[in-house]
Amino acid sequence: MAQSPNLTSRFLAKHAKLERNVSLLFVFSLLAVLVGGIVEIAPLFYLENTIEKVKGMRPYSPLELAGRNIYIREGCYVCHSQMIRPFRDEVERYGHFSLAAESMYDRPFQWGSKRTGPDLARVGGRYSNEWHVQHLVDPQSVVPESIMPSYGFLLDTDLDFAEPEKHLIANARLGVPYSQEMIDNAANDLKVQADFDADWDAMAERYPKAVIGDFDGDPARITEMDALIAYLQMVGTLVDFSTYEPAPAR
Amino acid sequence: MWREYDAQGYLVYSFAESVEALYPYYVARFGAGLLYLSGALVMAFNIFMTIRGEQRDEAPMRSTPKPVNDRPAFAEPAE
Repeated sequence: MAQSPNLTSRFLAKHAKLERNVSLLFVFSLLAVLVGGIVEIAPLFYLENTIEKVKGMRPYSPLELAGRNIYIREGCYVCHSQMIRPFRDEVERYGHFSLAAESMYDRPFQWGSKRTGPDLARVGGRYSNEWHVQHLVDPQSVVPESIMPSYGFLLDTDLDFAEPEKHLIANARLGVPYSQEMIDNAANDLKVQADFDADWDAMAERYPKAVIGDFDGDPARITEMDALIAYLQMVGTLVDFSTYEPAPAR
Repeated sequence: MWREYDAQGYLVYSFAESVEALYPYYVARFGAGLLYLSGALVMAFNIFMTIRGEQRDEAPMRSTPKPVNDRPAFAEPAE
């Protein structure tokens, strides 16, 4: 700096101009942030191995997707995370830590961050359907310490499923691999998943590990409770961790 | 509480117990939320009255020692 005081002061004078002009400063800082953003984020969209492929992952069945929409509508994510961190206490409480691939078909993902309630990333299969109905209607009747509000109205509300295929199409456009066959059968798949006596073989083949049955205790109707519990019962169950082996470190 | 282990290496508390322990703090949080909300209501009232063009009735400050100082701080926009 000692050799070129001229250069330094000329640079500082230019920079002073930038510092005193709010609009100019905004434009240049936007450019600076943009460069950093592009360098860090853009490659993730083109890298093949951003998300490790894991066996067992599949798109949501129409009923699960409807339940997931209710989960989002009711703001469950405001209190419940779906992200088991790789910490000893969380793994002991909830199960194997969440993998990136397990939310690869979530649009949008439900990781959450406020852990007022327990993590739900592996709630699937942990409780019975009856427990879920009882808990959603009156949480304190099964967990006395709970501060969760009642969601009993889900039991009285018929699920609005006029055009479930449109939800599948919307997800497919975002990159979720719904086949044409899945989209064509969406309305029927949704119905048969909530009815154990129906012919659900083809549906179960399209959506392996889907939990089938009447969830809310009223076989005559498909309520929002049916959809939400169908979703809750499959969350985190798709990957079989008895056979899962992480990909070798790259 | 989330990370407390006993001598045998087991978790000491269930999640529900941690919710119960947080109860007084949630009550405090409720009170704080009410304060925040009431602040927002006061501000909404303020903006509403400002939009309506209400001006408060205000006597000049007579306690200033010199009458020459009894004037607005800025006679014209500061620039």
